[in-house]
Amino acid sequence: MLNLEVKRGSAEMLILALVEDRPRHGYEIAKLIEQRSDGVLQFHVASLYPMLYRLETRGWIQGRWVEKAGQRRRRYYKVTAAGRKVLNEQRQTWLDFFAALDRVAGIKPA
Amino acid sequence: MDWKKYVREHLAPLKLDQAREMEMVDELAQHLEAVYQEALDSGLSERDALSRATAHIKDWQLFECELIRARKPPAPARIKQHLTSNAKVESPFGFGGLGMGSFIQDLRYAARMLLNGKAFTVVAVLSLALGIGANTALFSLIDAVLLKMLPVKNPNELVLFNWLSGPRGMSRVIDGRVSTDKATGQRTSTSFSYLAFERFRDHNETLSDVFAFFNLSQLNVSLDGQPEIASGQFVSGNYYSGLGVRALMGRTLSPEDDSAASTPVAVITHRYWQRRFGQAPDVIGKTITINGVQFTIIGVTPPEFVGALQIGESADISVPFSIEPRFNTGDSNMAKPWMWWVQIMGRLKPGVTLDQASAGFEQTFQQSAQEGWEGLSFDSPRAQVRLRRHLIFQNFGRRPAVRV
Repeated sequence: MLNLEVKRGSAEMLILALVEDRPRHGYEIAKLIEQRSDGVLQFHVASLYPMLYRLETRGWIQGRWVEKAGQRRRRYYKVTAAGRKVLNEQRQTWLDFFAALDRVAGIKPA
Repeated sequence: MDWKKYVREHLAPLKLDQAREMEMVDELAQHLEAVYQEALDSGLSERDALSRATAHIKDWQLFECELIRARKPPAPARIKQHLTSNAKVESPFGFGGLGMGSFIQDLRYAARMLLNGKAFTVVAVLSLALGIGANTALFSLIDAVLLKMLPVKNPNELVLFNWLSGPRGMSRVIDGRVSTDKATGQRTSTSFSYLAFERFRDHNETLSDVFAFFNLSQLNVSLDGQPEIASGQFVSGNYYSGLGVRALMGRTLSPEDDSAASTPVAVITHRYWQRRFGQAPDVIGKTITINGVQFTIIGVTPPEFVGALQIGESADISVPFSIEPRFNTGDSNMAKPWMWWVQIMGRLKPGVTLDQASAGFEQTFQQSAQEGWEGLSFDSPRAQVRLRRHLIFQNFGRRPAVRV
């Protein structure tokens, strides 16, 4: 059964998915969400950084300041083992949701 | 524009601990600055770029509200927290509450059960041992396969430079992974100063080529006014010839591109050409803005080649090291002997062993190591410095997994 948490969960899932393979900083995360969704999904700065903070507080992602040659010091976030578990659960929830939509209204995810 | 000041002026105190609050301000300032820079790169005037950046966060109160909400634990965690704090009073262990108490109880219970069922314990331990053994075998198999996958000319001849540190460390700044060498217990890394690379390249008798690269991971790219993020790397002019990779279209970089006076040029991968240019045949000669600098695309690499970065990483765009001072607004790392950041590879000449090659670079390496040490702010009298570094070559034909 889907609940109200799903909507917020989708934003969390996007972030977790983007830091699943490699660490990324906040600006990169926001840009990638916009780019990969062809501008359909956009994250406001006012929501993004508090959400990163929340995910970090929950232990789902871990932030670390990294200083690289040729680049300025930035805070990179990567998914933790707990975050990976949550990500997998959320992916499954969305799959169930899409399947339910499809059964009722004939809508398939792209 | 001082973006940090701008954020500080608009943001009310966040009631986080002081260090975290300063970090949050830093992150926000960097974000806005990146938006501003990107707007400038796409051709907007300074004024328009400013208003685009400031429009990214108009509602500062929303930020504070979101942050307050973020500090609240999720409902299940709140329930657990409540239960745990209540349980503390009744816990027979006096401290640690329900969490620690039940953990110790669980451990005792597990130990009793294992002792009661000795046959079961033996089977369980054996199963675990077999499982671990199988994982090790699998890892070795992947190791061998990945190594052979580097799609360059004779990959088994390629070597990667790394070092083992003396007891007092290697250099003031090391950009790259530093780990502990299992055999010696010493710190080890594949990052070198650019000056070290130049010395290796210019005083080399055992390798047919010595070339360098550095993972830039993220570039702000603008093409026809469309901004995006791409991965990239700095490479030396002889990088492609050293690897034995020829261009599919146009040309790759050459040693002439190492000159600071050369025109900024870029080589792109086949994948990026496909993704960003739809395999347009007129890509050669196109102008692309990278981190605010205009480049001309001079070549596309073959489809199977994605660079010699760590496995799992690739660089869409390769640009010569000579451009680094312009990316770094004049504060170049290339002339800093204490900044160790560049990765160096070479190709063994026929008949030369790894040990012979390593020995051939020992003297020039010691010189660079001495410089790296002297750059340390807490320098000790030179007599106490024990430089026990060695060069180790990783043969890509046998041990690529050290790079995973």
